[in-house]
Amino acid sequence: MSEIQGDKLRGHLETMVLSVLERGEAHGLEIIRRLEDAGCGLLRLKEGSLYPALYRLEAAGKVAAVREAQEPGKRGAPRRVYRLTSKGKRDLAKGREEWTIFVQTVGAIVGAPS
Amino acid sequence: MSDQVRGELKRIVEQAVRPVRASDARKMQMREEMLEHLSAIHAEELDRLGSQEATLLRTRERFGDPLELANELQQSLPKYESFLYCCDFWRYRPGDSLMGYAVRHLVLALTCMGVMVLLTLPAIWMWGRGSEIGAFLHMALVTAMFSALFSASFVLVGERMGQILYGQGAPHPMRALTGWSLVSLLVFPAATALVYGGLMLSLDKTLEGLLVGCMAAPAAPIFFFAMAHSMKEHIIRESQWRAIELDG
Repeated sequence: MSEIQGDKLRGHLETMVLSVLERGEAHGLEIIRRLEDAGCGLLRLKEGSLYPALYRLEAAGKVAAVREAQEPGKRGAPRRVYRLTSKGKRDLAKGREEWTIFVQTVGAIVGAPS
Repeated sequence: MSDQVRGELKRIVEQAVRPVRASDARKMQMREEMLEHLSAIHAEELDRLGSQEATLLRTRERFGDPLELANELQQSLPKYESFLYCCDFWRYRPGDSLMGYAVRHLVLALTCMGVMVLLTLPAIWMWGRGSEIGAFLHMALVTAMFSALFSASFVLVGERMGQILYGQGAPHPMRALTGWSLVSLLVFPAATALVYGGLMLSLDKTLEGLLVGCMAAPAAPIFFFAMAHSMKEHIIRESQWRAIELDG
């Protein structure tokens, strides 16, 4: 099966990020790992594109970010860890509902019912 | 990770972040976050591939095209970030002309005062104190000149000392610092002379004010050193990112 990447993910990335954050708070790289693990190796994201999605979610109050405590002797800035807010949880539930309807509708049209 | 590799990773990040119209604070947060991510990708790929060249190539590939990312970042930001970006235009940046910077501050302070005066004038008129408008305008002009010159000299001397100490430096740092310390001695006497002279107070009063300004003068270099020191972290980080040269 071919990999899912780029344009096919557009519009769904934010809901997917909310969904992996439901499992617990995470920093950017961990979010990518969770997404790719959940995608069983078929999901290939340009990792930089995660950040615009995270910033949009943060601006909309769906996720909140805190700086992780800096490990002693570690070079660089402390990482930002994202967690789901209650607004994000509500949005995730709505996103799931919309996705189900989308899959049922398009599935029926293309002849691949879910 | 070697400084050279870190420099390469920073360049990728800077290609994505520099074109974004957002506040300096927001851009610094993006840079640091994405650099941490890139460093982690690089470490992972180095374990897997072994060769430094292949690792950098793969790191770039996984991260995506920085120019495309710059557009996506811009679209992800709230509108007020563009406003804050314009506000940051008034800040000093390494490589800026000092005179241009001081003039920007002067214009900003004068504009702010001008707006305040324009907003106050109708109120004075409505309270039936129209005859005092001349005195009010005189006072407003002196205050505007005072705040403009004071603000321009504060940021000029403080930032310049900060840049010499922690930023882009100067060919002869000790000489430059001594020179700016001497310049700073003029700030308080000049400010008091401007206020007292501008308000056209008696000569005695003006001389008295000037004396107070001269007595306060020796505190100025200490104050500006402290101001520069408080900006140390910011200046170091900002200078490092700004020193990165991008292609094209």
